[in-house]
Amino acid sequence: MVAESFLKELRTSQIVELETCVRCGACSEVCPVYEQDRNIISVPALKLQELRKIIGKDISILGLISSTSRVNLKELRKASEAAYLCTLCGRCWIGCILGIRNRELREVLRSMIYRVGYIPEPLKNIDESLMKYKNPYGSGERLEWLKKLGFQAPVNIKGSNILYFVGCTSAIRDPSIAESTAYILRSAGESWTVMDNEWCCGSAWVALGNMDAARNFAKRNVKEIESLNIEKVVVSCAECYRMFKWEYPELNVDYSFEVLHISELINKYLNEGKLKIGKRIVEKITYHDPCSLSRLGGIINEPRNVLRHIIPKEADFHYLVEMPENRMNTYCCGGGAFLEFIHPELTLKIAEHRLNQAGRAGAEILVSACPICKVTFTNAANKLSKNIKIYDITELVAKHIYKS
Amino acid sequence: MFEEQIIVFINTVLPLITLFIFTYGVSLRFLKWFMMWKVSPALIGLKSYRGSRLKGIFNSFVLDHLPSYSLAARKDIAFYVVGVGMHIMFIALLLTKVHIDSILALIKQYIAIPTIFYVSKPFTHILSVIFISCLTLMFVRRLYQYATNKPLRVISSIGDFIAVPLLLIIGVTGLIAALSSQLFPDYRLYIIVFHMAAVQVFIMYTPFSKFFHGITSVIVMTLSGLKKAALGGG
Repeated sequence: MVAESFLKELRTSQIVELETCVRCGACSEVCPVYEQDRNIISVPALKLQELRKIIGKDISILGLISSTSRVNLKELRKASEAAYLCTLCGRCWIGCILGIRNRELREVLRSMIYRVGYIPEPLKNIDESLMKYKNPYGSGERLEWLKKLGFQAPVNIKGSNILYFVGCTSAIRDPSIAESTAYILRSAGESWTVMDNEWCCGSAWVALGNMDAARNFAKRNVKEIESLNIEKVVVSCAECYRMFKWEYPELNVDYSFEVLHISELINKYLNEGKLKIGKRIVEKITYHDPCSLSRLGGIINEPRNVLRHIIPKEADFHYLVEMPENRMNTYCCGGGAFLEFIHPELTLKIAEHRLNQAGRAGAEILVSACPICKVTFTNAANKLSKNIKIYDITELVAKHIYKS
Repeated sequence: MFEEQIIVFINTVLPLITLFIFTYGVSLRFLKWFMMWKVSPALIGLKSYRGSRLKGIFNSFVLDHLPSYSLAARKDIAFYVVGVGMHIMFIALLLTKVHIDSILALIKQYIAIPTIFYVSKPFTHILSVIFISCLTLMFVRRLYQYATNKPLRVISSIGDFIAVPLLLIIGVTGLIAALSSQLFPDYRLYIIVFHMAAVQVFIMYTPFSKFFHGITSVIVMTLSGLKKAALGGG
């Protein structure tokens, strides 16, 4: 049934959410894209109303009995621009008085748009790259970073305690995060390995709207990881963390291993004494919570605990400063869901807003725990000539580990 | 004679029609949900919860509406206060003595029910004034945003311009009815009858309009609380 294929990703709770929106516009107050863009089509509730218009007939009693879809293709094409004018940061969920998870409904809308091929032109290259290279960046070389390491990294070692799932952005766009993570795992004396046949975790497919491909990539990754007989999977990317921890179960992909973000593991190592910090940083640091790690992932305190180990103990309140929008209420970096490929100027504006917040907080260093945030902030800081250093948490730890 | 017939109709026949239409509308909604029953696998797995589910749900219903990260994110605090105030007043007004007595009197025609606890009358008039003021402000906000090409321009639907005026009619007629014994004793009966008719139109319209969020929001807020508990926020 066509209708069924269109509604495949839609859950009962999501229909209830669609029917609960009272169109109060509270979500527009908190949306980073709308705040920076002021384009009326970026209002989160609008996307919800459009989804309602598109599938309205299909989710009526008659539509559910009928075998043919009456999905409104004209409305679907119209909704395409608005649906992709979003970083999928999930802040609209926090802003909604009723707690409607607008972000997940946006994924459903994107999956419908993808199905009929209405995705924005710039995303078509990413789509091709994902199909051909299994990553969104059009690179066939995922393991190049291993060559830059000053030691031999373990690859495909069966029965290791930990598998480091590198992720596309760390492996291709910002290899220093992968190198730093490898160095940390080695310094902690951990039994670890990487896979030589890693595919995208599927978050890129989710952002594009191809949920079937996301499911297939997830299944394939899980199968490969389980074949290595691994206990724990560690990721250094917030998107990978969200996918493994929360999206894989939603996609009905089960696994037997434990999933950890690198900040959780570093925190554990530092507490157990497996890692020791040498020289501490005497500069003001601020931590940017990546949306997929904090609001959508639930990791909030561990990265801060790690940073407290790096700054002078006696005055952590002075050296670790907070930006006004933090934790569950964190502001997006602007680079999520490939917005920078469609609207680079908007990504720059959102990143600038965040960099200004860091500046006002008095921070000299901005630390994140997601390669996408780091790349976005670094590009923005360079373009806007901002005097702030941008690091990923792994880079900062690797730099300050006690070297015997 | 005609007046008597109208009063009898509004007190006996109309409630049954209202009940029928309301039940029909709610059944349609539930049937639709049942027909495409698909639940989130992630929220079923008990091991996936990091925080307390009960605390997560409590936060979703209570703490998230007090000064917290949820409120900190908002720019338009006045709208938030007015919106929450309007809802609280609506519930408080429903629980006032005059309403509970009327509802009980209506129901007792058909079924015998025991007396229940309810809030007494003292502030009914004040509650009504606050309710009407908040509702008016919210409607003005929608009209203003509609006129100035702000977010509500694109998300408002025709239903929004029916629902709020209907509630306003109910609020205003309710307040006038409460004051009518002193102000317009001759028209008291008509005002009460008009108020009761408007309330029944509201109940009939509920399953087919945004008013249904009064029921669905309980589900949505529970799910949102569970999600926060799963993430560790509970």
